[in-house]
Amino acid sequence: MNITTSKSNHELVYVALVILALVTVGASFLHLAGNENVYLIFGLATVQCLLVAFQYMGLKLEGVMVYGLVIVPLILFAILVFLCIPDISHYPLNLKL
Amino acid sequence: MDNTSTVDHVEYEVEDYTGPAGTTAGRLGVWILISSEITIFAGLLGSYILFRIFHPEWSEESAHLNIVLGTINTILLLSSNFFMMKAASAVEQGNQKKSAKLMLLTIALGLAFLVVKGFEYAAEFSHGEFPSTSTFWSFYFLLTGLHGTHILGGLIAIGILWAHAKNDNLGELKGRVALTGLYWSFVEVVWIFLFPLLYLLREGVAK
Repeated sequence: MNITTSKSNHELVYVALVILALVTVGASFLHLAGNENVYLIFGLATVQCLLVAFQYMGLKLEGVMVYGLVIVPLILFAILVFLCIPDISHYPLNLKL
Repeated sequence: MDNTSTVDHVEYEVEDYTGPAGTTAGRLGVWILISSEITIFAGLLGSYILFRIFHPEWSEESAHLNIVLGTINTILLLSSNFFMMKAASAVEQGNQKKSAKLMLLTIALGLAFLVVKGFEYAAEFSHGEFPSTSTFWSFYFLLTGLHGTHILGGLIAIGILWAHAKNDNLGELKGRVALTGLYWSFVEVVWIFLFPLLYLLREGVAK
């Protein structure tokens, strides 16, 4: 497999990543209600992550096995977090960080 | 006539092996490494997020971090990874000299990231903020230190490839440039999440 199949997109992806990084920083200074800043910041970070994974790391060209290698630890991460929810459910969700 | 054949010597190029999904053995190996790294970082980040929900007062400690330096480091790492991708493309086009120059840029930007991080650490130490100061600073130094170690490891690998490429002597290592680029991209992904978690979610963000 050729990792650089999408090499023509490298420049475009790089510019998009830099813009998204700067927008993320800018979003942290917005005064939105509740935890919307948190969701916005992590939404932007997730978009950046997906851009790198699919365009630079060539994930879009990989097979089921590699997707499994990526998804399984993320499922374990979700289980870790969700198992802790009963312990923290009586605490107010305070992500005003 | 003897129909049986004896294979005395078979040469296998590990890099050439292609599995059912078209993934080479080398790429599969790096993805297995990345999978284990996701487990490590996701576990640490998950713990940090849960702790942070419990401790809104960590915002005050987080506010001591320098967003400007964090942003500069983000741009440095994004640029470093971009040049590594270009280096992998250059190798595939058979241009090792160009690849060496691009890898040198990758290394320079990676080192710049570590230098900026060093300045940040020095400033934090001078303000009396050490790993033992509080749980927040323990997490901060653990996460950034572990990430920095991965940067250092990547730089050593890229340095070895650069030393071969500058002499037009990559040979069997040609395939490793793309594989190292794959690892380098993962290191960037980790920072993409570390940066907002540590630097951006701080007091005043979501009032």
